[in-house]
Amino acid sequence: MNLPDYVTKIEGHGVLNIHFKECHARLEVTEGERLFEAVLLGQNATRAPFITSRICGVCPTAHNLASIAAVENALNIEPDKLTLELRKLMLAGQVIFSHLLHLFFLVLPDYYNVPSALALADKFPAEYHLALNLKRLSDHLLTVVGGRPIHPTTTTVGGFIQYPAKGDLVTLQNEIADVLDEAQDFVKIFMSIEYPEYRRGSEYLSLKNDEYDLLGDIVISSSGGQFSPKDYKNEIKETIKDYSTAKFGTHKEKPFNVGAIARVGLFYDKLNPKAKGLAGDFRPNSQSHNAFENVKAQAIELMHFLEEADKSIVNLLNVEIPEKPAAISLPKLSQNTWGIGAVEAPRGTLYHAYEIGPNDKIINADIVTPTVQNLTSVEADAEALLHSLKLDLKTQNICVIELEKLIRAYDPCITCSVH
Amino acid sequence: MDKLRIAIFDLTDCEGCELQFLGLKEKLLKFAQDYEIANWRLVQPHQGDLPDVDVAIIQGTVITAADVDQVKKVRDKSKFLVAIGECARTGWIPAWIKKENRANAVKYVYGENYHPKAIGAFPVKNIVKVDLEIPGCPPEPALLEKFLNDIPNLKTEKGSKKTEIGLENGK
Repeated sequence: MNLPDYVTKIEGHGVLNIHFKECHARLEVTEGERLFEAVLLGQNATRAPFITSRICGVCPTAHNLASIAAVENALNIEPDKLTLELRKLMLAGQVIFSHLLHLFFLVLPDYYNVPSALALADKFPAEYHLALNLKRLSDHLLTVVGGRPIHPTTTTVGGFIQYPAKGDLVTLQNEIADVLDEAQDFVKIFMSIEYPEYRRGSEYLSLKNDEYDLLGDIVISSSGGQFSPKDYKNEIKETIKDYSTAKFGTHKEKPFNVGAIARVGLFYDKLNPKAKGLAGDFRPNSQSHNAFENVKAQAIELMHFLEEADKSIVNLLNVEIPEKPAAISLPKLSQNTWGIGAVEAPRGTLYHAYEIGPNDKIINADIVTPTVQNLTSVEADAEALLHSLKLDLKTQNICVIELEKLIRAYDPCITCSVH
Repeated sequence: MDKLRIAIFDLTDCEGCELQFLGLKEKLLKFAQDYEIANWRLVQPHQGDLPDVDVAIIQGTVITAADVDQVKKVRDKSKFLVAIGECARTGWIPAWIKKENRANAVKYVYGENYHPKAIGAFPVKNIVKVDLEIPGCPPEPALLEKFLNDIPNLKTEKGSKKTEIGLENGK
């Protein structure tokens, strides 16, 4: 039995094929191949961040910054503190922007039984107002620091070509203060929804830093292991399937999860106070994984990164921000060199890896997106959910609805997965 | 008077263009009331067969055979067809791969023995007549707002489907 032509309300094009008798699920991604890695070949490395942000309109800032980090890693450039703080702030804005889009426009209609987010406006005007205020804030944050919300314009290899004005940062700080109470109400909506219940064992992976801040130099696992992002290719295997234009990721030959559910599970102790208060005893556990909890985890992260953005702004207001960034002269490579950059994108760890030659041209490129890493788990979770549901002809339609909700809970970025 | 019926479609792309519509916030709500939205995959479930629409908005590069079919179907059903963003206008980044290099590019990304869905990378106007193009990667929200405001004034010359809107047209 097939679902309708495609699974709606996920970003990009995909079909979930269910074999009900065998409890078998197959996610067929049908998005066309844009071949970004091949596009990069022969390009000057400094153009990669411009090009690769266009992989995804939902998380362009994450691609842009992972790409910059990869080039900097190859050229052995250490960004200064101001640059790192601004990048953290941009990524916080990126997560708020993306999680909000998913939670409000894609998830909420499922649970409020309305056909679309636009229809929410009539039935739930207060929630709609809340969402628009949060949208206004994240758009403004990404504009102040990144130049605009979609496809940033201020960033470059080595730093920034334009810094935010302190006056704008103060305005942002006030705007965050203004939405914090509303945002708590928004988060509570998602914490109080009853999600379908099933459990399976999985593994959670995330970049780790001293703080819960989306940058990091080590990938840690819920199993206790860890690895350097530089070893991503040995750790995370991508498999090509004949039914999907997206590759499927595994870690140690098993499905694993990245993204909000993994981060809240791994870094619960480091949640900011308001986010922790809202989380209460909600802490995702890889051993009893339920993918629907990703929705709650995104809601918690929405609050965490509002608080995190505020912390970043306080730090930025305490340092000198020059009116114009100093010119950046990039070192020349003496031989072909690989550079690997990783950031925590809204949906999980995003790796960009480029081999760059002495003429600054890209010789090889590899990009591993969070959704690719999650895809094997999407099928595993669909099957676990199928097993937990009582299946007969009468309930088949209900199963289909629950499975669609499950896929949406992942917030899969099909666009990213086929890049 | 019946509401004008519009529909939004995405081909193969980053979806940044349609997200710019969400960036209009309260104004988008007004447009959603002023016009009937017959199709917008990002925010509403599959609507079944596409009815005739007054204005179809297409974003993204034509990359797969399904994209080609989609564009032709949409053209048949729409009085006025708008290509928004650089992917729909020019093919943009995916079209940087030359036709003769495409097979190697696929092999580079997916290895041997892989059968791609992509058949190339083309602007919409290579497949069907486009009545209006709105530039930008992504287009500025103000430009989209102006376009949405102007929808009732969009007129096509009989046969030629030439636009009279005050935005960049054609090429």
